[in-house]
Amino acid sequence: MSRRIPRRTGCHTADHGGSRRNFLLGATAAAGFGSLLTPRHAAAMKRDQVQILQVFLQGGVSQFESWDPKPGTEFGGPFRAIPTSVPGTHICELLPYTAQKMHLLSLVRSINLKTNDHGVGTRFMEKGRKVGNFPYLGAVASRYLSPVDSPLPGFAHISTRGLVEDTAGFLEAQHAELKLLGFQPPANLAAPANVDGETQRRAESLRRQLNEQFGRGRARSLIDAYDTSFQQAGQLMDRRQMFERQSAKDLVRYGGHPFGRNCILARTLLEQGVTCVKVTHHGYDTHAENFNFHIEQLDEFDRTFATLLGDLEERGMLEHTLVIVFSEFGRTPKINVRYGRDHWGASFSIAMGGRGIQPGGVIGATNDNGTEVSDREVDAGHLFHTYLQAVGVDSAQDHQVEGRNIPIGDPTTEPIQELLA
Amino acid sequence: DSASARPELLVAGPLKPLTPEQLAWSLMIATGVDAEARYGALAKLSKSPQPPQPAPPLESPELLWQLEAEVNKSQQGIVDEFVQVFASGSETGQFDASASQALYLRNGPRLTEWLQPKPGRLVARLQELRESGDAKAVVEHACLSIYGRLPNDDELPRLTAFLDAFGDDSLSGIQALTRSMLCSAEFRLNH
Repeated sequence: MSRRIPRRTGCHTADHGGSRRNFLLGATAAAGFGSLLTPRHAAAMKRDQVQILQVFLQGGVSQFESWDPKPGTEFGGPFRAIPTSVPGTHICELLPYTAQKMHLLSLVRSINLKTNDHGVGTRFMEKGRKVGNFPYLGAVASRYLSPVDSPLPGFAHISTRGLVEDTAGFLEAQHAELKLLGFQPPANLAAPANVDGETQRRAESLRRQLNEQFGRGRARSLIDAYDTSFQQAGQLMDRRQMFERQSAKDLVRYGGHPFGRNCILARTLLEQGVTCVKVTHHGYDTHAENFNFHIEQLDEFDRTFATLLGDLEERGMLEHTLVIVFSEFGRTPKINVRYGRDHWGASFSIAMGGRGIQPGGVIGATNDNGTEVSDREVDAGHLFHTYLQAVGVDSAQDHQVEGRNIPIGDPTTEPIQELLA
Repeated sequence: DSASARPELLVAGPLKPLTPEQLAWSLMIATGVDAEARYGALAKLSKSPQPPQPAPPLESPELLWQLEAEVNKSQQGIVDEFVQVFASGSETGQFDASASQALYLRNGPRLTEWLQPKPGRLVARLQELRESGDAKAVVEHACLSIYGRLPNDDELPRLTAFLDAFGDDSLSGIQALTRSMLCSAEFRLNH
């Protein structure tokens, strides 16, 4: 008699929750664009705002079922590898639409994080450091790439789960992610029925004046954090149209599912000028039924992501937008008794493309059965440097935080130079 | 000596953000909703639909305890709502503030309802003072009720002018004033 396996497949550690940002330190305000731009990017920055799109496949997408297939090998699983628009580069057959866009992307197949923990892996991939209260990539981008007069948050994260993370680190609270719970407008976005626009403006002005007076002679970090939350609320209220009905045509193209709708919103946010937009696609923690779940998950991801990537290309946005598709780790080569794959940070892959990235490349390799990196091993520190160098931020320089110099990227690592355009 | 020191040379005490539960109760106390709840609890305990108002002091510790328990029970749903909106996910419990929290305070139906001019509530009391023509008394009562102190020399003219700008629509002015003060950092961080 066959045993029914529950459909819930993920592990349930507290690390899925993350933690909220700490407001440990204030920092000097960035003057205009940050001062850490590499010279060759400074001119481009004057023309276009450089942006980042992060697509986070939460839970750990299997590298075998995505970017580094090993068909016919001991741990390869049941899926084939298919050719892509880049001659000689093959990816898993579960990504047929993305395969047609691979000339816009490059792969890194040799990541070893030396951790199999969701929380550690997520923070390492986002901060470029395994430990420490460092800011996420989106917060760093917000700090150094957002115009000083930007009316929008610098870092927005679209997710279907309300868990919050400590994203700003020691940077100013305004650079922390603005969490949007899917494509639906946030609750309480409309002013009370009996409060007109002029009354709202006066009340908000008074609140700011009261805070200004209250802040004199006091440490500002908590007050600024609180004030920023109201500023961001006002920005969202001013841009309610971002959350209005999405076109039927786009819904068909992207898919009507939440991830599709979240990606339409991501495109809108990028078009509106948000510096870093992160979209999370949940559900890759496939400790059981790995193959069935990857069929379902990647079916949603593939067409939607390829459509989004195509739209960015068609609209000329890839020239100034770095695109990253990543997870906190990959999945074990060994297939467990529940037909699942477990956590595996020792040899996995990501994809990236767009601004500053040489397209069509494959960096590094794993051995024949995918159990270890065989060539050009890198970790999240290398990736963090690479992302920032691609968008023109000199990651070898320091954050200036209340008189302290804190290296932006891990000084013990460096960018993957062969990926940089 | 401290009297002659320039203000910028003085350092204020550390800020102490309210917990979600403290924020809920502080808002209820400031807006007069807590007093309403106490009156309702007293009516229930005394089995009288209209107990004397103001209620006579309860001398028995047991009765006082029962009253507190009844008030907490009646308002538990509201407190839970604040915990849901304002609870920090931080492992260290450090203060955090999000746009969704700000939207809740700025536009949410809970505070909007608490700022309706129902008898006994802060907005109704301020409205009565406003109708008597004493703008200074309005500002002083608002500051005492919300901040637990009198307005300083800067605030008195500023807040009076704020109310005056609403002309005949004094209720809108009072509601906007009280909401701004309740949403200010001093209320959220300095209780």
